[in-house]
Amino acid sequence: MLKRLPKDHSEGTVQQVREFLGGRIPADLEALYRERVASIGDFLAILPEWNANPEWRREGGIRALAPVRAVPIFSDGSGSLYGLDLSAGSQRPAVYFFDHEDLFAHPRWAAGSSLAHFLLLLAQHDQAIDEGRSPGWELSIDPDIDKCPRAPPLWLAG
Amino acid sequence: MAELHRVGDNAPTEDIAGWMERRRREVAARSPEAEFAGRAAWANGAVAGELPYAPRPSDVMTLGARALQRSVGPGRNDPVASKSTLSATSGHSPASWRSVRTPVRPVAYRSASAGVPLVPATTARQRPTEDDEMTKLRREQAAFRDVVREESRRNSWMAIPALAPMAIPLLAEGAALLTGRLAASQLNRAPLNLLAREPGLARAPLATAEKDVLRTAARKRVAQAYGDSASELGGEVHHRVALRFAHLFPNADPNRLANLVPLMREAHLIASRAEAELARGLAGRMPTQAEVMAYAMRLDKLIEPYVLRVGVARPPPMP
Repeated sequence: MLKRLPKDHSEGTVQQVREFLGGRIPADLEALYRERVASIGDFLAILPEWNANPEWRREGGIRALAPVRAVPIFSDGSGSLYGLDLSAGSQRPAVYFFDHEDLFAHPRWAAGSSLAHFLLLLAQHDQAIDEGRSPGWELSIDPDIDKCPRAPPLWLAG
Repeated sequence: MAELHRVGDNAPTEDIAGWMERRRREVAARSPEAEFAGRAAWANGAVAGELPYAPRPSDVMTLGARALQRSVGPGRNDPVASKSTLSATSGHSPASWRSVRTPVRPVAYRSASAGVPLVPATTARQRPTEDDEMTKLRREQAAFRDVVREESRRNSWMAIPALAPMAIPLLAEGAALLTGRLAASQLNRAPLNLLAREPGLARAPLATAEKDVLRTAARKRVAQAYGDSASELGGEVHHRVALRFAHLFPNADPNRLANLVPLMREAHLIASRAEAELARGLAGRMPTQAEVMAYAMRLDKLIEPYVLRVGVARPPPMP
């Protein structure tokens, strides 16, 4: 289920994203990049393409959520994005789902109160649907998911 | 000159001139006036209840001729009074043959109420036959039927107690059928609303959680159909008819394979922007099925080069 990148370009990725974010990068995001995660299930990681030659580097969609103050970290496989919140300040940033139907105009629902919780929930996403778990099953993994400030959890998103 | 003998009689012979004259009178007696008088005599007899005996059409003419003859008076010119078809004067002499042409007087039909009825030339009483009996029988049967019908109409209320147990369910069924037909006609007049007729299918725009489930199922369906998932192909699953419009197609599965396309991420972004443009152009109005399909087909042409296929080299990234 978890796939890692064959080569470790994490240092270059962190540097590239830090430059994009204006010199500061959330600790959770830096830790994610250093894990060299390529995908979890069908959810592809959104990573900038690193190259030693600056001319050959590609942003790879890292700016897609810049207007809504978020960094895309995973694709849902259908065009929408999971993004790490950049407006949390000193708080631990949450992860939100941004729908491509509204061109990522705002976070649609909370996908995890933290990046760590989000990864656990993402790993069980498809399995939960296959098992037909009742709405709110995410609370058993992420008790604070309904306290995210920018959007409600999925079962309350309407 | 040849001579003719009177049939059935010892009358002296008559020459051809006399015979011709007699035949001429006979033919004159069978003129249209005679037929008309015969029909009038038949009608008067029917009104009087004594039908003249005339089983054949030629007998009607004979009746008319006889009536005309009777109006003039009996004489040797009466072709029916005698058994013979020929007649002669009492003198039995050809020279005494008188060329008397029967004056033909048109007889108009007069009803019994109009005045003096015409006396029928002859009646069935004189020569009763089987046909006459049958006619009389039919007349009596018709009269009997009229009486039965009148009595049935008068006593029809007596059938109500017997028919009521059967009539009540039939009336109820009839009312139900009538109500159903009225409802159906109202339904036909109402605007077509397919969403309301399919309780198991989408009626309103999909909820966020429903879209999440459908997208997950779409990924799996594409992976099953193509052998590789869209992420393994380096792309994403694109719904040709977006899920935001899925409720407009209540009889269609949003995840039908014809609606799923593995697409490069860059092209999917373009498609998403086009969808947003369409929604913005509608200004809050829900599009029709035709509008959505027309949009999807226009978009198909745009994104076709960037559709991912197993075994086909990935197209170059979009500029």
